[in-house]
Order: sequence, then C-alpha cells, then structure tokens
Amino acid sequence: MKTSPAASSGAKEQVARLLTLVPFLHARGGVRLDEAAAALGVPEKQLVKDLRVLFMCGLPEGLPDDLIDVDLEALTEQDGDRVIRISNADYLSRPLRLSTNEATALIVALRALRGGAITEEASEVVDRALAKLEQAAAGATVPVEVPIAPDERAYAARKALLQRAVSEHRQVELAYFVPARDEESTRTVDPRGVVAHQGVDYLDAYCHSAEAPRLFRLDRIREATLLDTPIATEPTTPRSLAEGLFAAGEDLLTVTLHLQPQARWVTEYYPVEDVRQQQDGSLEVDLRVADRRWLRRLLLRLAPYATVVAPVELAADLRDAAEATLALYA
Amino acid sequence: MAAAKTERLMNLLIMLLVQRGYVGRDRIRELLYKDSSDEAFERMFERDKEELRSLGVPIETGSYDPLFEDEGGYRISPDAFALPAIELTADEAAVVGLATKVWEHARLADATTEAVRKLTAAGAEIDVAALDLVSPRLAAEEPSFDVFLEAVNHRIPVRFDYRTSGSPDAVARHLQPWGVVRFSGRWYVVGHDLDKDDQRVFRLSRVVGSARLDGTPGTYEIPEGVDVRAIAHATLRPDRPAEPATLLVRRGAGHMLRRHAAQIEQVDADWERLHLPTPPADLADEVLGHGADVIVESPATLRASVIARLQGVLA
Repeated sequence: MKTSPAASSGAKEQVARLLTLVPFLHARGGVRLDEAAAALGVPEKQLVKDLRVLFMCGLPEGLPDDLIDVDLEALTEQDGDRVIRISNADYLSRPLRLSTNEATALIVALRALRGGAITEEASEVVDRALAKLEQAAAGATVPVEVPIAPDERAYAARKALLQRAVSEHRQVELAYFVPARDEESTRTVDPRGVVAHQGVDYLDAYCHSAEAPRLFRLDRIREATLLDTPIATEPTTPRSLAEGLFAAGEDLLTVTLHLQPQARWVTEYYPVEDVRQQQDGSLEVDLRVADRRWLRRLLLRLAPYATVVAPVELAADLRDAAEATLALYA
Repeated sequence: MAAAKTERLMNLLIMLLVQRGYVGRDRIRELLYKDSSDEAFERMFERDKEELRSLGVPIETGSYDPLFEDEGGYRISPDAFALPAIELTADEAAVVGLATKVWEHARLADATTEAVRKLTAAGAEIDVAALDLVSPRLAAEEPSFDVFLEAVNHRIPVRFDYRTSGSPDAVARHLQPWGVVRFSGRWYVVGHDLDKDDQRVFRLSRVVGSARLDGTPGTYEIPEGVDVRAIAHATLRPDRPAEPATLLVRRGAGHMLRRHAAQIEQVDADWERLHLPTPPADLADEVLGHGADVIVESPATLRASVIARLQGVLA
C-alpha cells in the first residue's frame, strides 16, 4: 500500500462510493445525475466515472446477464436525459452497515442535539431517531456522553439568534457585561458576523452606543434581543481574527508574571506569549495585556499565587490594591 | 490502474455476498485472479481482503465442509454486510440531517456525513427542516481525543503522560478507558487506572504529548452497568453543600456576584449587603477579583481565607 497510495486509496474510495450509490439508486429508481451528485456529495464527473466502472462489475461468471447494467448513453450522449438507471444489481440493494466510527460520530451528535432540544416534542423526536439508529448500529455501545448543560443550551440559542440577525440584517439589543470595568450596559448593534478566535466566539458588530465597530464576547452577552428594525449601517463581512484580537497599533503591554502551581491554569485560558518552566515547578509567562484593570482583577483573583516580575509599576499597583482591600477588614 | 482494481474488489465482494456457502481460494483465484502467479495471487488477494475489511465489509472465513480439514473459504453474510432497515419519519430524518452540523472535528464530521449518506442510500429523505432545536457544537481540539475514542470503541488500554493541576511534572499513567465524557465544554476520559487500581477521571487537555494505544483490541471489558457520566459528574462537581455567604458590595459594582444574590439590602450611600444562599464554588477568587469593592461578612472561613490571601500578596 505504501508503494502506490494514490491508486490504492483511489480504488478503495471508489468501492465505498459505489456501495452507497447502488442502493441509493435502487431505492429510488431513476435519479437525475445532478440530484444524485448533490445528495451523495460526489461531483457529476466523478459519478459518471464511477458508473463506468460499475458497468464492468457483477457476478464473475462473465456472461452478459451477470453484469450490472448502467444506461450510460443517457448520461453521456448529447440527447441523453441525464437520468441514472441501473439494473441487475439487486444483491447490492442495501448500503453497507455503519462503521464503528460512523455510528459513534452520528450517535454522539444526536445525543448532543438531544441536549439542545427546547421543547418536549423536539426531545421526543430526537429520542425516536436515536433509538432507531442505536438499533441499526447493532448494539454497538457508544461510550461517549455529551450532556449539554442548561447554560450551554442558552449559549447555543443565543449564537443561533445572532447568526439569524446577521443573515436577516436585523439589529440586536445586547445586555453586555464588561468584567474589566465591572459594568453592564445595554446597547443596540448592527451585527456583522460571529467569529471565533482561540476557541472563543465573538460577535463583530457596529455598536451604536460607541458609534464604532466592536467585538463582543458571546459568553459575556447576558441577553440578546432580536429587533424588527433593519441595520442602519452597510452590511459588512465580519473582520478576520486570524491576526489576533488586537487591532494593529493598539496599545499593548507585555507583562511578565510568576505563577505558582495554583495559578498555572492561566496558561490554559489566556493567550500567553511564552512560558518558562522554573526549577521549583512554578512558571514565568509573558502575557500581552490591553487593559490594566483586567490584569489587576486577574492578579487579585490569583492572590497570592501570581506576582508581577515586570514592569515593576504593575507589581506596586497590585500591592496597593491588596493593601486598600485589607484596610476594609481592619 | 484504479478502475481495474475497483472492478476486482467489487467482483470479489459481490461473489462472496451472493454465494450461499464459503467460497474456496482456488475458486476465487480461478474467477478473479486468473492470470496471476502464485505469489502475485497471494499478495493481491490478501491486500484486497484487507481493503474491503477496512471499509467495514465483514469477510468471514470458515470451512464449507466440516468433515475435512481443508483450506476453508470465504463468505460475506448479507445480514452482517447490510445496514438493517431503518424507517425514519420526516421529523426524525430532519434531526439526523442536523446531526451533520454538530461536530467541529474534521474526522468525526466526515464520519457523520458518511453515515447520513448511507441512510440516504437506504431510502431516507434527509432534509434539514426548521426544528425546535438549537444545535450545540462539539469541538475536540485535544490531540489525544481520537486515541481515547478508538480505545473505548475497541477496548484497548492507553498509556499517556498526565499533569495534575497543582503539580508541574507529568506522570506516566496506564488506563483502561471505559468512556469519554464532555463536561462544561471539556473532554474527560473515565476508566480503570492500572497504576492506582481504581476508577479515575482524566481531563484530556492535561495529557502531555501524545497518548498511545498500549495493547490489542478487546484486552478488557467495560464493567457492566458502569455509568461514565455519573462517575465524571461525581468527580468533577462533588456535592459539597455550599455555605450561604453574606457580602458587602459597593453600589454599581459586583455584577457577577449580584446574579447569585437572593436578597440585596441597602446599607448606606456606598454599600449594599448581598445574601448568597448558594454561592459559586470559586467565591473566594471572585471576591478577591473585585478588590476594594467587596468585603466578606460571613462565613468566617471565607473571610479568613480572603484576608490570608491578601496578606500573602504583601508578604
């Protein structure tokens, strides 16, 4: 297999396609070439190639009646009606069983949808589909559980609402929380798109309060209401976050922190530039920070397991904040 | 020649599927590998069987004459080969169509699409209709996810290096995985830890480097009645009763804390008192993050812990 991977994987894939194509046609009689191509996700050209090979297959006795018949003229001739018709392939009338992988992927996806059902009725439909498929997977136990928590369901619903607003060019009212300022505000925005960066979803939108484009973290939107009013700015494709969240030229500060083991989780949650393992098991990390208030909150949360190595004025800032807080307990 | 090979694979499959009994090697060779030398036949036939099996085609070996110890033969049982009949109603088919949009993991997304195509081939008319469903997305960025999935599907032990939250060094672990569970957006594997000889839960994002399969399929059995979801929940969210807390919070501050408050009392022009009957587990962190905007009144243990941690900063 290593010598000619292309040819060998080509044949295997073609066999897989044919084992799906034949029952697909068998269940439906004649199917138009373009419809079959769309339903099976195979380009028309490839489909015709596959059918030409199928034409050569059948019971290996070699008699004409033993071969699968494909009406190739209908597909290739100028005046052909481009409808696929096959006959003499009854032994392949059923598709191949789901592989372990396919059964796992489909059943786990359905379990996730079960968690996303909003009404009793919807969950009942998913349950019925799941039961039938679990049976079709022939008792293959699928030991993968994906319980969807209520807050995740709410999150998915909010994301769906924002995506709908984008496609329908409608305004949205957001109740948005800014932890760095410990502030919640209500604003009307023209949504441009939901974009992801390092596993976090953002709504890119024109904000009418700020009178400028803004990014909103989806997990900080407490409430989103789809308005009937159309957007008041030109529809624009959402910005790409490939280069990172911070627009070029934004004032960024690189801060070096010393993290004890209790504070290591920071490296999993925030984009750190560099991590240096220390002898005693602690870490030294470089973090790019746009908002000093955000950093102060983070360091207080981590107290006393995170300290500032540089710049020194931020180390003093943390001490001041701790001192002022302690004074309240005196 | 891919076409010639496809033809040979298809013909082999059809022949074995249509025959009632086992087909002997000689007969297979005579019909499909006529012009091959002994050596070429052996090589091609082995490879062809392997490729069909890797597609999921169940080629069985056996003897068609129980009285003779002959070479035996091959067959494909139509029942083992074919997808059992599934009748999906229109709304069930729509749910199945939605399932193709759930995975944000290339291999599993492809596998779901392939599964749905097979259902379509069996006659189902899959159509994504509007349903009262929000479709959660399942991502699996942890590199070890595929390894653990394969391990639980085929009961293969896994060896991996694991870093616990408080410790800097990764330690080699040996596990018989029972199941994979997603909890609050993260993946965990539950199984029998061979080093501790006990059940354990591991977070996949804390696996260092790559996890490796360490054995053959079917090495162990998943204990009957084991509920991996319950084990994961019990471990990850222990039922420690949260102690009610009382906080003083500056007006206009502490929005996250206010969401947990059952009652808010006015104290004076600057301060309000929040009563939290069931505070979040990380309340101390949350309070500390607010700095001089929040003071803990009770419980005393929380108050002492916040004071000690602030003193730690000044030490």
